[in-house]
Amino acid sequence: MAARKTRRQGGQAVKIVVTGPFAAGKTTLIRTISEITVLSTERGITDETRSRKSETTVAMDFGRISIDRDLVLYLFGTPGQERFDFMWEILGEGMLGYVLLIDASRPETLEEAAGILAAFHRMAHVPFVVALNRIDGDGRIDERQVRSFLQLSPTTPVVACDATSKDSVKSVLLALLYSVLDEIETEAANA
Amino acid sequence: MNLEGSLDAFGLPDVVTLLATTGKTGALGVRRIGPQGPVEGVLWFHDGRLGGATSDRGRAFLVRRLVGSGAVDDAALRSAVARSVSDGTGLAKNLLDAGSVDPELMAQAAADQTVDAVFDVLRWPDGDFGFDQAATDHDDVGVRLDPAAVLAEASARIARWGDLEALVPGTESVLSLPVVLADDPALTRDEWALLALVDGRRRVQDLVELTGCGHFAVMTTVAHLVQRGLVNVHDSSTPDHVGVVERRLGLLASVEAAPAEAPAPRVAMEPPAGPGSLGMSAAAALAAARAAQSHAQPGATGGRRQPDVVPARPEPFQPERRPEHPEPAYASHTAVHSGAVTATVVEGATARTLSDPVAQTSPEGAIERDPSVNRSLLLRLIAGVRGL
Repeated sequence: MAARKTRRQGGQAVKIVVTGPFAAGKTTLIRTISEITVLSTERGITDETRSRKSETTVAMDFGRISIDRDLVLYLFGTPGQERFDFMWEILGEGMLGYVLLIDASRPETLEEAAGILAAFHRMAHVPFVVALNRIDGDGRIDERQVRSFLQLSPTTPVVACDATSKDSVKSVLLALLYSVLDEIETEAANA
Repeated sequence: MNLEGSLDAFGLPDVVTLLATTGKTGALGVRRIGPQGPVEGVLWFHDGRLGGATSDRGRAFLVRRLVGSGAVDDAALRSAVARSVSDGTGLAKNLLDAGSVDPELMAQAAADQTVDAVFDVLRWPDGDFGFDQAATDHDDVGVRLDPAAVLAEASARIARWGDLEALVPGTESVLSLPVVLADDPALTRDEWALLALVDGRRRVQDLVELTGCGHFAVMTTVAHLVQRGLVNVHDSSTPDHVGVVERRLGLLASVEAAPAEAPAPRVAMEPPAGPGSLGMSAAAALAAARAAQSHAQPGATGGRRQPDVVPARPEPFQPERRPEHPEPAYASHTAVHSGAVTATVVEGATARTLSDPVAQTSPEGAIERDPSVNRSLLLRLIAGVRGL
């Protein structure tokens, strides 16, 4: 799929996708950092996942950060359930990179995270970071376990994250942006 | 709340005049839903006189004005902020009480700020007001202004604002310097102080904040500069002289010699090994990898230091590690290079064998990074996100 440049009124728009297992905190993360009211189509859950949360995102989350007058960063969140994974490629088109958000208090979701990561890796050649939400507390999975389970390269950033904290979400986005910057500089050095 | 209503029905001058003539003390709150969300301002009354005002309670405009004028040093500001945060007292009052700002300068700044705030609120197209007699001004710096005089000055500015907007469309306008001037420039020191801040990216609003002057003062000076051709209001029709020259210089690249420096051999980023490295955090490992990478960059080892234009990275944001089991050395890295392996079992997660490690495959036809994304864009994004 060809990369696509999105422009609005002469300015440039870039996109980051936030993905992760069901109920990892993707909607919260986007709401925490977005300057606009996030578009989120949430519906009541009717299947066995209801025990985890009562509503889930069935279309997408959409957030906006105005970097300056001519540059806007959009955040797209993927739907939380597998039956909507057909949207991932649509959301991923032209993305700068993506954030894989994992709820550190729910180790059982690592399997789902690995599946999502594999799907995204097959779909896109872009940098990504892994963010561990709700990292504080006993019995949480830690960065090393996640690295090992997901078979991450040592250069892939894994950052702790509180999806309700703006500073924390900024750190996640900065980690991704620096990864993209590293990739560009490496490509330039190798050219 | 003792008195409240809509500014559409009962204009700000009428409300202010009413409170002034009845000698009221308290806070006249004003509120509107702006393009960026709700905005709340306040006008403080002391026995019918104005003691201060702001058009946005979320911003310390008075202190910003002092900072912009260079009247406050780091230590004084740090101390005043710490005290405000700890006991809720006003920032400007803390500076005044600590003797960090000359009282006359503070009084002048507070008066200017009050006129600017009334001027701002008068330009609101709509909004509500409410007067609270019980409210206490925690940032009272002692000025007592005649409300009629403040309204007259603010109203006079409103009358002239249209002329200014004809030259500078608004405070969101981006300003740039023309590369070519028709005549030799002649400037006052105040104009120069403003001109020095114009960089092709900053808006009028940014100059307002950086100088500590109000909207009207900055717009007036900028309009004079625009009128004399010393500043451009940047838009798509503004000639980009630098861009044109850079584009033409770029055409020379194919006939000019490439830099003589040979690239240094790249350092393979092997995982840290040995007992001492087992406890190494991911942040430290990443830092080591990045250090190795930077040493491998062309020019990094040649003695010539590259200018440091990349914004500093944030501090590593990793939790303190709490290993729950003996830790093998980077099983994941081994997996990437050795093919199928069994991933680490995490309690609650199913053990699995990956015959197709996620980091290995990279089929054709996948989404690639947008080719328009370059280093310059990334630096803008990083600076923008850091500034949120």
